Amino acid sequence: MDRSNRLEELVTKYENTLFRAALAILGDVQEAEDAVQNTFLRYLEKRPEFRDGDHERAWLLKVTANGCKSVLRVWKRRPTVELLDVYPAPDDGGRELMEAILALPASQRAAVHLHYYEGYTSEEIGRILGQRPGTVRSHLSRARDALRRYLSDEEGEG
Amino acid sequence: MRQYKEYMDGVKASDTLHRRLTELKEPGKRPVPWKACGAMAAALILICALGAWASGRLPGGGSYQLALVPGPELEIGGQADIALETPGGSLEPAPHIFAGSYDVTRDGVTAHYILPYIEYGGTGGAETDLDWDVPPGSVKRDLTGEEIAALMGGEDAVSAHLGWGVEYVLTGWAAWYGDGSFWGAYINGVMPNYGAAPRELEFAVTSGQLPPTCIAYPGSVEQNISGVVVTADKSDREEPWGSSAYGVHERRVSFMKGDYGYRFEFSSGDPELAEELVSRLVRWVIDSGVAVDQLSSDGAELAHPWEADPSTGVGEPNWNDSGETSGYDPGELADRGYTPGKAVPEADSFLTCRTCGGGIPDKTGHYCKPDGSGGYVCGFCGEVFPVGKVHSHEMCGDPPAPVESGETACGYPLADDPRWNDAGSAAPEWDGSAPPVLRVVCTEGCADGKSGNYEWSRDLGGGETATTTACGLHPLDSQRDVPTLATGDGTALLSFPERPDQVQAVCWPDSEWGNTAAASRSAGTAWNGQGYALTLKDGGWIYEIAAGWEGRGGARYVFYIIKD
Repeated sequence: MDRSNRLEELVTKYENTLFRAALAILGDVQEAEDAVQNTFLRYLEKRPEFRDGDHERAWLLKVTANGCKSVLRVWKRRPTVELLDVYPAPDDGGRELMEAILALPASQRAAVHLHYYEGYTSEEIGRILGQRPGTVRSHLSRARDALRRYLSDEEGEG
Repeated sequence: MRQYKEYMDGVKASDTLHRRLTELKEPGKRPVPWKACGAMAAALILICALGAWASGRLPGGGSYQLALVPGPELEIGGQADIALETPGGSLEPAPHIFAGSYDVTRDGVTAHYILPYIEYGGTGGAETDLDWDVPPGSVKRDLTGEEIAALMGGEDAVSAHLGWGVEYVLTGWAAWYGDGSFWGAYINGVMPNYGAAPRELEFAVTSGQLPPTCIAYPGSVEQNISGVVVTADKSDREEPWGSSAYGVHERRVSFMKGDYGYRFEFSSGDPELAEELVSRLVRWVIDSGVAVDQLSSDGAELAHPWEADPSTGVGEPNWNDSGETSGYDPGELADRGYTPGKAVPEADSFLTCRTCGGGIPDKTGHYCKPDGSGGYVCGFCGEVFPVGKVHSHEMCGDPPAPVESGETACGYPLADDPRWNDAGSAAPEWDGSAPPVLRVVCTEGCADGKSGNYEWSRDLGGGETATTTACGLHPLDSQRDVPTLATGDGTALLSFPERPDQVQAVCWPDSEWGNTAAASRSAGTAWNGQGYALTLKDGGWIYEIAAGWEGRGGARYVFYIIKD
């Protein structure tokens, strides 16, 4: 398979996965698209040999997550991300949860997305995010605590 | 999380993005950074500034020109690491080894900094994951990126001198004693690395002592760098990645400089990079220190909230995923004479100790801790009782269970009972995948030693082993969750499911709680055929048992025994 076909195959296969991860971390459509584009640029630059599909997927997610972190470093402190109306909004209860998730720190959002949406274990997430599994578990635990608090606060106000 | 999945399922890359991606072209080759730096360094006449860490300052403040960038481990004379350019200057030879250099250019002037060479003792391939707690009564809060930079000397210090560039995601926290004085700070930095080991740094500074750690590195090397004793060690190992693996190289140092203790660890797939960044940190801290006065305790919160008020916040349900409360009937407890509301079940049918914050299995005894005013607080009934007195929740209502002849209160045979010879009667079952449980047995009760510190290898099959290193609190910082026993016995039985090859016991008086610098005292143990008989000292003592199993590892266990 030539390089352009290989790229198209990867793009078709992973563009949604990577875009969702980038959007979950950054919460900004434009920045997320740029992060995905940079990921594929990195792929073209490195041309890594993947052992299998899992390796391929994890590598691309890792590069995307790293690119998102670089963006976050530039942003410094961007505390929360707003729910994007360009995508189908969940029902009322789901919207509260989404807003609670997007209010999490980026590191926790990344862990939550990779665990609950992509189904990775803390060890796998640790490799993707460049963190120790214990750190990932801590992010997930804090995220769960924060979501519970947030949701209970929401209910209390309501 | 169903709603989250549904929402994300609806998120799609736009057609515009798809076109952008499929039309991407291979980027041109970028210059290798070190080549660019090398060319720049060779072209520059280096102007150097003074540093303090080298083996000695120049007599009379003399200044010298360095014509070349020293290579790795280049032997250079005893000049200051950084010297001002002086035509005709010369280097006086002296046996000091350096480990390369780096340049910092500001306003067209380039300063050249030579890095100290550090010798690292090998400690094998163990992974360490430092995680430590702060003293009781202290307040703690997370640090912002700006505060981390300020602590280390500013953005310039972080990026140009320490080499923690913008690629690193830096997080950290700081803690202060209850009186507002600085206790310590911790910084973690991570930079993911494609398909290889991530780069990760851990920096800790504490006031008046080295940052706590439970890991002892017998192979570490001490060396004098500018009058500071620096202890260094390294570990090199391989991390699995799919069906292959990548190398991880950790370099660690610890040292006291002035009123502060420092610990720094850097891990990377590149050992030379790890050693360079450690050398940079050592040079910078010895030369410039850190600015703890840049940190304010404003906004810090009590690190252990249960300390805030013994009458409130106790028994709040823990947020466990189960969310179920079972096996608890408040009325039943009230009927048995307990004071309602002082010990309330958590969601998992455990009770919360108001003093130590730990979970207490329902219907078990719990001996509590000094309350700081000369008495003890029972974690179960909340009553204060005098120092040295045995107190358990049974004393609040239920009479203690009768002690049958030849049996301890917790159902274990006494040390000289022949039932100890029955397989499985002495200690919990053990499958060998983790360090064994140490059961401490006295006539009045038994408890499992707290084991936060261990290094354990388990067989993965196919000739592979996995080693886990866990690092917990120092025994004297474990006051809030150390298992406690009270007894009138002169000995306690230490029971392992498998006899260790080595056992060593040390202890501290309970007056030393929180004083991790206190010297330990030896405690006697003797094998009696069923376990190790530990000779108890009068009063309250914290005991630490170090046990080793040949070829598998070792663990340290902590418990607290009050002997009447």
